[in-house]
Amino acid sequence: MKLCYTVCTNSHLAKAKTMADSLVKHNPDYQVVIGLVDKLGAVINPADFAPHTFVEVEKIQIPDFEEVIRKYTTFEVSCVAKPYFAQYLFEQFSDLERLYYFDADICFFNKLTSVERLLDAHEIVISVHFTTDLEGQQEPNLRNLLNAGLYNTGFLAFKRSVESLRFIQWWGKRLLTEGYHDFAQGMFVDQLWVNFAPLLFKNVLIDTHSGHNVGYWNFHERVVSQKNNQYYINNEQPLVFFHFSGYGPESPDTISQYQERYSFDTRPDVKPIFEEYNRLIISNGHQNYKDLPCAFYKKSYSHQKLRGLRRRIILILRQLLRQLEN
Amino acid sequence: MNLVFTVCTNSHLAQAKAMADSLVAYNPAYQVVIGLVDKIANASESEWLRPHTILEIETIQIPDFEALLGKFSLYEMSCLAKPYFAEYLFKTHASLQRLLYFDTDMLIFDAFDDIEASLTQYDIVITPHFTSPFGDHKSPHLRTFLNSGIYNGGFFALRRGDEALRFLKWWQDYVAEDGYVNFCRGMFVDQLCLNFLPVFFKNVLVEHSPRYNVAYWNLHERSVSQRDGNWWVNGTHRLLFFHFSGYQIDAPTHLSVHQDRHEWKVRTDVQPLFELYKQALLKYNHSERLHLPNAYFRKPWHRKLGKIRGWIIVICRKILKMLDA
Repeated sequence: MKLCYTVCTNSHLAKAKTMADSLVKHNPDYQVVIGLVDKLGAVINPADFAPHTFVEVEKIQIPDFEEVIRKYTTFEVSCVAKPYFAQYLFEQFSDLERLYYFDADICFFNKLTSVERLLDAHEIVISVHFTTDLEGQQEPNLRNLLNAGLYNTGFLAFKRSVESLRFIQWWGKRLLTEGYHDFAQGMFVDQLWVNFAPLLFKNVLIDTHSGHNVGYWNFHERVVSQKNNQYYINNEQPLVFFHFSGYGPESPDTISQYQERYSFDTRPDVKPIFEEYNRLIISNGHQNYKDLPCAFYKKSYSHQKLRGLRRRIILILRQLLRQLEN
Repeated sequence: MNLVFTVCTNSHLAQAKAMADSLVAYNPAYQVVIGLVDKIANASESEWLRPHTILEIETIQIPDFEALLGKFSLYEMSCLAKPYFAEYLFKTHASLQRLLYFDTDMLIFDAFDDIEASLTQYDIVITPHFTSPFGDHKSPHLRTFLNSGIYNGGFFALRRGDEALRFLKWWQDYVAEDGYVNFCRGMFVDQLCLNFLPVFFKNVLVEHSPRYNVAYWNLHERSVSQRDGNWWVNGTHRLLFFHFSGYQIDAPTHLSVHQDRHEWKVRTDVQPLFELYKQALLKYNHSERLHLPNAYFRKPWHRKLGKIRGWIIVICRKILKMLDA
């Protein structure tokens, strides 16, 4: 069986459907599982998403789940859940040999052949943000990536093996207590930990294929072109999947809320892709989903605000101490 | 010709000399250059350091040196000077094929055959802090190295060539902008940006051998023993060099002030090494030298506070404890 999964909340289901539809359109032999950090409840009709299927997060038994949703934001929980869904799927489907993860805000434009090939000689595949120097201080800059991680966890691939399960379990365990979005403490959800993957685990492939995981962070080394109704990267590799991180139809003229380097004026090459994506997520009902609250969302996140204040005090004191003890 | 360099201030020359002496004892074909982020205090110092030589930072003419002095601390400055010294040494020694860097707080215990062999294949050699994870929540955390860097900036080896020079240029540009200590903003002196090294540059060896750069951050996977007059790691590998990071001669109860994972009581295996190091430092009057002033940096404001400084530290620590940090 051929399986991919994603993880999201109800609010991102139009994006998840767009990702899954585009994946299956080019790869009809694949199934997509949507790992839901939310409850389907009465709001979501799973039939609207067929043939894709759902697994609700409560079903996969994350240890101390109550505590996890208490201390983490919805975004953090969605990231923490990633390795646990992977583990669950490997356990559920005993004939599953290869498992791929894709973020919900990805869209496919081609077959997965070049992605599948990555696992032929490796057990774990991670995706590098970029492979050439990124000059200048505009965001994203090198510092941002040193905070957030060298590799982008919007895409991962695992071959069933002792080593990949060892990685998934190690990763999940760290995330239970250290999955915050807190740069000052060496944490950025699930992503920063993956910096260690090539060092601490065997048979890890760092994927540098220019047609994979194209996103604003690698625009400086990747240009989009069209030939025979196909998108190409740098006129050499067919575009397989594009990552629309930080993009939404709410501000269709902004490439990503997380970057300030490019606009559609300076990068007209990427514009048709975003326009196509925009149409797809709108036709999949993004307007109806985007404001749905997460079932685990706490109306008052004041404890988190307090936590922020506490962290700030801790930081200031630590900085003072560092200076004094110097 | 074979060259090694280190970078320090007058206050750390005892460490530099101890490192260089041990290096030359096992590698007589090597010369050690001490890059000095300072000015030579008096001529007798150079005499005392022989056969090792001093290279003052003024000599290498770092672009915008004054501006850098204005924005970085002494510690940051000492770190970011590395790629500048390295480039200068390649430039001024046309026959230099290999250049090695070692932090001053190290001792060398074997010949560099392995490093030389690696440099026949690779342009750049660096060492990771460790090659296996640890799970407890003592200090430093595993994630501390996500803030401070996967690789240790205390050692690197370069082979003359386009790639090494491209790396040095890139490193210079990087540290001149972002060479601060500021975890929140993704900066840690010259070290954190080394994370990019295997991604951006070709022919980089991440040396996994346990012989290299043994220090508190990898003692969870390495033990030290003595056999036939030599030091061994895990009983199988000859110790090449040990990094006494965070060891302070006036805080002899701590193996390193940067950690609380390992104690002397438990790690009796490394104790003789530290004793050896302590004797080397005592021989060169490390304690007295430590207080030498720096030519470019005056004592920071809080060193003039006297007793109040101690109280503030205690209060800060108490609040941090209350906040469960």
